[in-house]
Amino acid sequence: MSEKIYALMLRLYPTHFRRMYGEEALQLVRDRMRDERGLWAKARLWWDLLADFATSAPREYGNVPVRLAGVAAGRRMGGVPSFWILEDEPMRVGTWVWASVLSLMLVGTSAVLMDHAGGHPLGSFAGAGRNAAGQVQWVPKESGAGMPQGDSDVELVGSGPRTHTPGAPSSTGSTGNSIQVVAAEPKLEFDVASVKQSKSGDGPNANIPLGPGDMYVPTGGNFVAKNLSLSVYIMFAYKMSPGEAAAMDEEVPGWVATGEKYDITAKTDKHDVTKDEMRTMMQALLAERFKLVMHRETRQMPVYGLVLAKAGILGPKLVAHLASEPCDTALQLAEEQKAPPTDTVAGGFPKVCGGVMGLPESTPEMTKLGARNIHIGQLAQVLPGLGNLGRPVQDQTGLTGTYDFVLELVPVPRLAPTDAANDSATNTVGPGLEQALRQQLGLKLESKKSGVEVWVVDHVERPTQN
Amino acid sequence: MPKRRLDPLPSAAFQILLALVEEDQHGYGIMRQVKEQTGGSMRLGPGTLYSSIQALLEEGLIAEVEAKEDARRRTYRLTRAGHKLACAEAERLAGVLRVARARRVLRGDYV
Repeated sequence: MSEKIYALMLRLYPTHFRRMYGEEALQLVRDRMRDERGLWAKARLWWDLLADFATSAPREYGNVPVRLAGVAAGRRMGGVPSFWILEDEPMRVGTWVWASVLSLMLVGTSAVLMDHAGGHPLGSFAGAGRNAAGQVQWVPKESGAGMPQGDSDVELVGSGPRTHTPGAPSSTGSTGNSIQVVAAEPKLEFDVASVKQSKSGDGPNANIPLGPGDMYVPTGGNFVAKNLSLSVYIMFAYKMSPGEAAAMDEEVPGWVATGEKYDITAKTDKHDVTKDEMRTMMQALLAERFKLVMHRETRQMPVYGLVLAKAGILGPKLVAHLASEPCDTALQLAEEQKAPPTDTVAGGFPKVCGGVMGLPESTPEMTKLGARNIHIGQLAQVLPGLGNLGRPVQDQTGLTGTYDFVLELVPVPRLAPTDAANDSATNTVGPGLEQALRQQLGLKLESKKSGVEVWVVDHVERPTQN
Repeated sequence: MPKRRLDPLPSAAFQILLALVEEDQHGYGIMRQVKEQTGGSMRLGPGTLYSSIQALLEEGLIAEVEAKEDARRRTYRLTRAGHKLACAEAERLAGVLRVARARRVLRGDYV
């Protein structure tokens, strides 16, 4: 029996080896079996045979017998690549039949497995845009709406974060690694831009809101801003909150923060450009003209945590946003007004969604703010400016989703955190920040130390010529 | 060109050369001799044994001779070139051992 098994193993060696030494090898095994008796000896014999087979059989396929190598060398032409001849006889008919059957079985099995694995048919490869785990997806580049225009390059994107191509089929609902071949998005940049130092003496203004909110005025691809410090342009480009911008201003040269004002006029041929796309274009412009290099890092510093005053209870002026309500972020500026409209909806909330905006106040001493469809984090971003807090405010309410709010208060400059307790006593004309937060929104501020992400300017220069 | 199988000389091939120094041997005899001269640490399987034998034959380091006892078995003999190579390899290893001993990597009187 053992001899037959080894004879079968020998069939896996190359023909030239079997022919030369097959009988000898079999005889050697017979000899060992005769001489090495007992269970332990037999076990060791088979261990030796298997280990020897595992190492020598693959190696033997790499050994070209001198006889065959000589034949091959005779047929090789100088410098022309060619195969080495490993066998000197044609394959038998039976071998051809077995090879064909095995190949067909392998191809068939692979096709069935690929077709049914994860319930994603092979058709998804051919431009259907489905993104299945372990599949390759071809997303054709088109010139349709939302798709980038320009060259037709493609790039191979490996596993890792999903790459979303605007206008291309969604890649949601898939897990695991995938390889996507996606159309390369052209770099977002303004087509023409002018940067010059302000000399006009006009008041600061811009044709779109430059804050971190989503409020936006469609401008047909034009960006016009005048008499603003570089710090404001940076704040717009990197979507900084007022607190983040203030922290950055403390570390940049004076001419960046407030010292010098600039007029920037830029235009893109992408007429339906979004606010975030315009931010990206501004980043590129600042990098090019001001050689601006930035990075983000986390620093431990005193902060205020914005928390619920009473667990699970919101104030009367803070309500969860209803997705069913109409909500437009496109702010229509009146040409003559040059300021956001203040239309409100039921509850006194602003009509426009996506950003914190000023509302008509009850008395001249007071300030009234409101927003619809914003995250609490966006509210937290505006609080340092309202109360002159001197430190960032972090959303620690645990509230998810988006909310509508209205907040009216007397913005009293704050000198120290302990002033919070005296707000109600010192403000006779209306509530201070802490009181307004608690009474109107059901929120309060807690002083603590925490890691805060800040923007750091690594390099900046005065602008190059247009 | 196919890779030269005996450059450097594999330990299995060197042991086969040593096994043939005293007398001609057939395959099984070589296997037993190698096992004995290595204290059982090297047990050549048929694949490794005959692959090495073929390489040594092709290089002219051993030669096939007519069997005296059993005509069915192929018997091999060390050639002059094989003997020369075995001596050179032994000298090389002795040199390595001298260095190892001088560096105190190897202790004891091995050479």
